Amino acid sequence: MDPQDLFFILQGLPVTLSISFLSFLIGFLIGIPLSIIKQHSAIGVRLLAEGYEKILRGIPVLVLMLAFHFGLGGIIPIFRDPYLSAVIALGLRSGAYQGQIFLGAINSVGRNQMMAAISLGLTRWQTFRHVILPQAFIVALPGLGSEISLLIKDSSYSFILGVLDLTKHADIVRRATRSFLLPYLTAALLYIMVTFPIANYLDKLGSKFKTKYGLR
Amino acid sequence: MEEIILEGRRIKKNYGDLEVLRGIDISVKRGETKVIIGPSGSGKSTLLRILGLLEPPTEGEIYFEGRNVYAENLDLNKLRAKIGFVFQEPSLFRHLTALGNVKLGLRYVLGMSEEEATKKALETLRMVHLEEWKDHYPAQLSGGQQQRVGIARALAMDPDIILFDEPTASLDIELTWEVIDTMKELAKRGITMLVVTHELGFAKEVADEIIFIDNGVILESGPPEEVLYNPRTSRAREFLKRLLGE
Repeated sequence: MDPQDLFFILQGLPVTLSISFLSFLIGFLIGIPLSIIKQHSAIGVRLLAEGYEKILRGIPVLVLMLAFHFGLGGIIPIFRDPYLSAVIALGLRSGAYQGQIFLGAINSVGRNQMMAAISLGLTRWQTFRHVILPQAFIVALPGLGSEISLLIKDSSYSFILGVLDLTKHADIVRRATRSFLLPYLTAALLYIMVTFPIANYLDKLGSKFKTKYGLR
Repeated sequence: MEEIILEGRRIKKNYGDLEVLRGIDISVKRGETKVIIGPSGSGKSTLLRILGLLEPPTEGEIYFEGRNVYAENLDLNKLRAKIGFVFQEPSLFRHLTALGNVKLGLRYVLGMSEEEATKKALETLRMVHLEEWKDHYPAQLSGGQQQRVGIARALAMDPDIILFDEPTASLDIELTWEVIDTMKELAKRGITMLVVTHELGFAKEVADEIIFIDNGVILESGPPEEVLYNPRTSRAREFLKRLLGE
């Protein structure tokens, strides 16, 4: 393996990061409403939300990707694209996880502040928006950090669909150079170098604000 | 002066089989300070939450400025903005400074501009002598200061009445005075108040009427000298004796 190969492996990183970022975003957009639904909706809707969570958390994300791309690709055009199949599979599952993270965080804010907000005349939505959510977000930061790490790592499954991510690039180098271990070690190192600082930063940020606001 | 601001008629509240309130009639006129006393578990806090429109009664009616709140289907959020509430437990918004806490309702319920809200919030913090603490977060304030910010938060909305639910109950003794003093100042300014408290000194000094509640009913009510020094019922006598540690 020479420097050129290292550079080639590095070129897979943006794809890995963009899959992770986009799927995190999808998960965020699903997770927040999911956590609200689980607390406030009628029993039927709540069961639906819980079913979604249970199913998405029970299926290996690789199976989900394969099912989307190879299973549904013929029917639903968007799944013909392996990149989007990976993003959507990871995003849907992340929604289930983030729903859990936010639910715990929302519950940690507590009834007293909610009552205080209601007593001022704030509507339920205003209370959520201005009192609950800002604090829940801080409490959720460490959990969100682990979730991002998980997405970055699990985005590697997408290489099976043919996505040219970090893992795929390492695999290509392995085949081309017949150097078996080094390309993967390089990829592994890059995964750690990306996931560790993100998770660590969000963890620290969460702790900092928690101390400042005296949150648990 | 004689206008009744808040009134509850035949208020009952059950939680499952438990009867917490068993038919309470109560009213507060503009400018009045009324104090509710009674043993813990007597239903005082429940009554206050019901009058504050934070939960509906099982039976009975609430009138705000003469209008039947639940029968006329009035907008509860609008009415709650006119009824201040100070809680027993720490209830400040922990991600906001003292100033931010007071401003929130002004901005989003009363719809004031940022400048207006800031001006009004500062004025109100000055009234509870916490202007210098405006940029502190709740976690950086003492329990007594937090309660005073809570009072300012309610007061800033210019409510028609403020309800206090044992605002000193979760405070250390030495911190209760500053809160009690603040409440006395408000009473003397003519703010209409309904206060659940065990602070008999406060009751004696500022209450126009003291109401003794036990077991979900009003056992006595009247001017402080009557209820505190000359209770008619043995339940009230026992309660006061225990409270005064005699």
